[in-house]
Amino acid sequence: MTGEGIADPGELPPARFVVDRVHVTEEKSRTRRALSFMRSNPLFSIGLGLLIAFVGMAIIGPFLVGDPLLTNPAGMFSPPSADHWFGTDEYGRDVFARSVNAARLDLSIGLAIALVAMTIGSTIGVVSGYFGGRTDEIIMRLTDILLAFPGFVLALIIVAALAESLLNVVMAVAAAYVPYFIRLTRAQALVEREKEYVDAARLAGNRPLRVAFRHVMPNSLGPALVSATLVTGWAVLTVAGLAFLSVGIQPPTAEWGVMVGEGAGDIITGEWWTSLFPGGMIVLAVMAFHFIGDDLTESRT
Amino acid sequence: MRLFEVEALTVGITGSPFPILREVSFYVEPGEVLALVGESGSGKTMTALAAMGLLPFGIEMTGGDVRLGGDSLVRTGGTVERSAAQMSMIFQHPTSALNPTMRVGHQVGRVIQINQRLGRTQSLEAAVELLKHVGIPGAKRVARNFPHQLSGGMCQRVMIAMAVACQPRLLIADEPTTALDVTVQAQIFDLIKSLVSEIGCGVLFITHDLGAVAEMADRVAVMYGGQVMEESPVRDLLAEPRHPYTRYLLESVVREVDHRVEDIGVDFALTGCRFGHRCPYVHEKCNGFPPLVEISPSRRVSCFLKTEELR
Repeated sequence: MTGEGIADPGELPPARFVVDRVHVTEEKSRTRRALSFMRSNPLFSIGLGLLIAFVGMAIIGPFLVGDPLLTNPAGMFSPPSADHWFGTDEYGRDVFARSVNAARLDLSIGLAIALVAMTIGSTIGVVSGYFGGRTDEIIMRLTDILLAFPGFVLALIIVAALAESLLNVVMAVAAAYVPYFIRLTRAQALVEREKEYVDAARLAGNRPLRVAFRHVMPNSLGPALVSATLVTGWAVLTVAGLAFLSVGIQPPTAEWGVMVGEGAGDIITGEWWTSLFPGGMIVLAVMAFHFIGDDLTESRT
Repeated sequence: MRLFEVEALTVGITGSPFPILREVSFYVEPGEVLALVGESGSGKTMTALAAMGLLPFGIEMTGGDVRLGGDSLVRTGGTVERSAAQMSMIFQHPTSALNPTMRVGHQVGRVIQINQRLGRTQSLEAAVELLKHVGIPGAKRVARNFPHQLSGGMCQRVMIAMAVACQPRLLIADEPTTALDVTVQAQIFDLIKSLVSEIGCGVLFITHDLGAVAEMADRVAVMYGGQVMEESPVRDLLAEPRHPYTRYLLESVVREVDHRVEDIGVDFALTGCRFGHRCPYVHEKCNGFPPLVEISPSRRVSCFLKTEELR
């Protein structure tokens, strides 16, 4: 600092303003930010809480409760008690043990369906949206056909047509949700393909398929990822619904839909617990995914 | 031989008889900067996209030729084929011209990988060198960043690195500084200038800023309504504009604040001279399309007025 024109420090007049307090917005820690977010989004927090509970139940639950298939002719239709929190069913199986074991099956099926549907749907959607033209036209008309069926009915038809196995249930229900993901991703790909970075990628010499999947696709997945949470919930509902109708997953598997189906007839004779508890599980699980998905959708827009 | 030549380039909406670009012609000599100037909607960017083969869906090239080093780049069906080693482009919005989901080093590296057939790690190293070269401090760290972590000026430098990665023979810069603030603008101009003299490529510099033209360009092509109005060395054009439109354009860079050029609406005549409805010298002949006429060895004007009348 030897430039001309700069006053010698000794000649500087004394500072006229004395700052006696500086207000700095407190840097919030990550946890505190998360907490304040939760407070302003109560439904999201409820959903998240429920989801964590369900995931915990699915992972460690089965190790803590008894055998879901263990029958006990002596103790059939015993009402909820300290021994059997949710009571026992017509074979004397513990409804609580069955509900907890079912969480693992239902959640993994729901998740698998959402993942399969999203993967297939967004791949087709990106191709449709990015390449456009006749390809797009054909794909769109095909999704129109699929969307004309209610998802549940479509899944019902497919499962009924295929051999009954867990894999086929997943594939059938996923197929019902694929058009939904195609539409979502296509719409976003249409937006993304107009952006300059896509031109830049083409200029760089990338082949069309690489531009589509390496550049357009990652940027078009946002809406699909958010909707995947919603779809997980719906998928749980659909699978349980199919099982309730004895399509897809069969008794004696511990599955919420199967249990509700088996227990539905017991309500009339007064044994409400065999169907109410697994039914409540379905409601809570679907609600958890719905609250989370809804909130994510809103915060995106 | 001319490095880059666009001849009678005509571009239109598929199925429409009225062209968006009408017989656009200009050329770039090796090592030269040609500025393409015009107001919004005059077809500057469309010209660049057509020359690069990047026309949006539903818009097609219906006539004309694009030549690089004497070889036509136009293939059957009106598509343009070019490689990154031939021509590359710097885009208008640096932040949207980079893929938001890819690290910038990879984006630059990818260009090198494709066009110079290097391995992945080697290309990445080359990319870091290149980022250093375009004046990015801490290039090694920045290469691992995503575009949203960089400022607009930095993004534009990355973009420039991508554009010059393969030492193209022609560089198209589409309003490279419009989205940046003035101080960064000057740095970017300097960077482009120094890189261009280093590579020795020709530049097609698209802008609406006459100040930038004066600073960067050797020659200028003025566009209006998808038509080249005048093509001239930059000094001559600024000193004595010949075409009536060019005069209006230069007048609009006003000396007095209250002086405004009336009617900036873009309601072109669909046939005839596109400037006809605003031109003070309009006459019946202007219902036809005026060709680019050479009025002096280095200047061409698209107007029916006689050479001596254009003064």
